[in-house]
Amino acid sequence: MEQLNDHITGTRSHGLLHNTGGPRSRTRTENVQRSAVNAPGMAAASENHFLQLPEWVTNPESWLLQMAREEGIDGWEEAERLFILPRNKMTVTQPEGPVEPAQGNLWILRTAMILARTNGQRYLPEGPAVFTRHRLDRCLRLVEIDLNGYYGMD
Amino acid sequence: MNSKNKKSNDRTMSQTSTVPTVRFRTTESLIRPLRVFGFDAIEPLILAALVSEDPILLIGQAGTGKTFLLNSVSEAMGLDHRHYNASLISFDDLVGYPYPSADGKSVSFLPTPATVWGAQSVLVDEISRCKPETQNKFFSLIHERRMQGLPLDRLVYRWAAMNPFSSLSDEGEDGYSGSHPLDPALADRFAFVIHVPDWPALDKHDQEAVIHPSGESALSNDNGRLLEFVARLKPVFRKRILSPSPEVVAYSRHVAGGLTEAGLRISPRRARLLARNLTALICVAEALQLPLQTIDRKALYKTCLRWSLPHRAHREEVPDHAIDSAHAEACRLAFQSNPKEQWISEFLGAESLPKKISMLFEPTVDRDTKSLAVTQFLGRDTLERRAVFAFATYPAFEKRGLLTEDALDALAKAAHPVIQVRGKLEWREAFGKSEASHPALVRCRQYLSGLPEKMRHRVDRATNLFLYLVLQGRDIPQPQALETQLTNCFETVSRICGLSNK
Repeated sequence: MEQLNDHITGTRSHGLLHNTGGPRSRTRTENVQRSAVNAPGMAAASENHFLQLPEWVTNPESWLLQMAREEGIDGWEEAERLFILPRNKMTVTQPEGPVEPAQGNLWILRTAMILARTNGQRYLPEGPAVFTRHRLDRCLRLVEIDLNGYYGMD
Repeated sequence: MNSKNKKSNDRTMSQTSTVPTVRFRTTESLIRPLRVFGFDAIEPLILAALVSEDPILLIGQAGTGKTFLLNSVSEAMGLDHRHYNASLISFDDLVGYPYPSADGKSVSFLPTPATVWGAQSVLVDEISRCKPETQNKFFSLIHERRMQGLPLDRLVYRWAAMNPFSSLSDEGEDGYSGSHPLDPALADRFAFVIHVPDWPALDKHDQEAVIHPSGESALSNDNGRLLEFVARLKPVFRKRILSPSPEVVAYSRHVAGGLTEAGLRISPRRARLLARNLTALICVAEALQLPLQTIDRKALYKTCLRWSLPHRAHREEVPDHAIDSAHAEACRLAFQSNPKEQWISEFLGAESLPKKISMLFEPTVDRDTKSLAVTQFLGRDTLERRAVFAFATYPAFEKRGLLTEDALDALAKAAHPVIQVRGKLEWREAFGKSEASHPALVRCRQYLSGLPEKMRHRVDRATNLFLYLVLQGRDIPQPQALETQLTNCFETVSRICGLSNK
């Protein structure tokens, strides 16, 4: 079945490479990467988020608030009103390809607000915003799963 | 004091214990008319043992009336009774004097009024004071109703009494240096092992009744009431024991597990004896018209459990907290009282995952209860079933807001690694073979390749599930069963949510 092999890469056997010197290792590895929500029709909405927080930033929230003030935004409440954030809960997945880090203060602020509301599993629009390096330093793909697609029957 | 004390008995069924007092109200005592006072708290247990005919062991300080109680009961019931003092008895006292037959080929025993042959009830007093070899003789008497391998056909009741063994009793004059812990195997033969109340535990009326000088040497005569009561309940008990209450069985099973976990080993025999004790006690409680609504029923079970533990005869300490904890958990699992707990038990007990999913969509059950049930399920079921369940339910449950955020997080945590599988498989290739895939996936591949081409969704989902499980180090011996279960779960959610089947 091709499905199982399509998402596997690793140390495949190649007969021609046998007997080329030392004994071939009998330990085999396969890298597995596969998502059930990347196929067409599975996601009602999706966004990639990556915030490259500078190494020297020790207090991410202060750094972000300073950035907000430079843009004339007075605190998170005003930022909430200005930015359009996803209104529905979303599921955390890993992006399958490279993601560009957010560029520009406004984009960085919006990304930070989303990442701060995303715990290990889910983006919660009504959840607490936690501006820690642990949350902000992630590279995520948020997916709002389309139920019709996800529960599609054959 | 009048032996027919008809005062309203507000009975305390637990004593010598730190647990809250459990009260039962009965209209009339069956023990008090025998001029035996101070046993109200344990009367239903004594009656239960008379009904079930299982052995009782009473433990108590000297002079608390253990022997008096049992001798009075046998007298009132008109039993052919034997009362042995185990510390003084010799084997001949029990079986009689052996004499050879005329042909010299066999030995018979010459019976005396004291021998055990023909007895209907036997009280082995001071059982903790006899030598181990004498205890061994009583072992077969108590357990098998046999002596010297010969059946004691008439013997019904086997009772014993002892003082607290020396390390249990207080220092000083209350210490019983001659009383030793019973052999655990012998102790395990007694259905009830009951601590009888001492003087401070008696109320004023009982103390005065005990003191009354007319009680000495008085005959126990209740005009056959006790005998009639026991005779009436025996057939009821025998009928019930053939098909015991599921609640009693479930409680006994759960409490045996809980106590064993807490370090109080419960033998399979003890678990069965507990179920018998409970059945008999419920028969008695119903006959005495004790209120058996939820709270009192639990109290009844706890009292029965408390005095059904053989450890009291051979351990220094039987911790109340262990009993309370095992009892509470067993009640929660076995009782059908609290509708929410009942629903959770039903949910956890449902083997079928689609059935569980359907239950979670029931509108009459609140979100907190559902969340608790799901959290418990995720904490205790197998990895395979957790993965199938979470994979199939998480997006729908989140969209519908069926669970609390905490429960949704727990569900998402179980679902995510299946929704998005990432990892590295590693395995050792068999010598001389070039295997292109992990061996555990071979069966899965064979199964999936047999599915029709149009079943894209089923294949996709099963692929995720199989890869995830193999990454977790699981073998998948029956991929078809697992895939079918997964599909059934997805279909259940799809059907209940009214999603388009495209």
